[in-house]
Amino acid sequence: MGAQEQLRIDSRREADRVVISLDGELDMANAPLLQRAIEAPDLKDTKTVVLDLQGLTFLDSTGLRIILSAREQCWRRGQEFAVTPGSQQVQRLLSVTGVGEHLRTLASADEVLA
Amino acid sequence: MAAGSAYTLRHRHCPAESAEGALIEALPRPRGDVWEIPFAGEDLFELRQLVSSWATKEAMGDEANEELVLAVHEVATNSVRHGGGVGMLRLWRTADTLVCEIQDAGYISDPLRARRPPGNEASASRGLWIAGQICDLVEICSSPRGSQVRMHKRLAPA
Repeated sequence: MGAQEQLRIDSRREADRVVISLDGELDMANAPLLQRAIEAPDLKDTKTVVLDLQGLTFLDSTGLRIILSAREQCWRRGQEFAVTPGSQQVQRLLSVTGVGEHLRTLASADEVLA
Repeated sequence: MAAGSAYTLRHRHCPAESAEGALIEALPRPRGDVWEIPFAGEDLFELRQLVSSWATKEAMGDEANEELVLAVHEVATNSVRHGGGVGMLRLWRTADTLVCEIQDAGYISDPLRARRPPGNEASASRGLWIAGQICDLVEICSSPRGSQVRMHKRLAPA
């Protein structure tokens, strides 16, 4: 199975934010796809970036690294960065690594940041 | 979650070498049937599915199953990245435990890698540490000639 079939990435612009939705399994093979989505010029002038993990069924340390670098990029640009909760596996990885505590988490991608 | 509760880490840094210089597996060979699966970078997705269905067949609970899959995946990813690009996965069970071992040509120079919490910076390397957190026991045997990482995950008592 090709890397593209394991992971679907949708990036959409909504007013002052960009929502990047992940569907499937994120690992070393398809991590560059997410990296590219995060480096897209579209993200430069938005106020908020939301990474929607709702459809993500597998996350590993490579994917985690890209999520953290997305957060750092937003930080540097003065943007807000938030995620939505993923599957049990995703939430467990975020909690085992302690990374979850450092991520702003929305109930869903529709929630508006205060 | 099993994380942090009862896991131990055993480390040996002392594989014997044969006259030809090949790595002799220093961790004792298991008794009974061992399933051997060679893998490369493009096989990680299938490797996860294979470990998951094996653990399901051995009646491991869903949460433990997911943790075992993640641990194997992380260590296999290290093989692909730092261990020469390929590795060998070995699976077997004991009375109450599923054991997954990965052998590759890489050298784990920091014997306590699985025990030291990584920082929060994006570039931190977390694979072995994650495996150490979610397995009941991780044994590492490494030399410049190659490595074995053996992960133990207990089955729930019947």
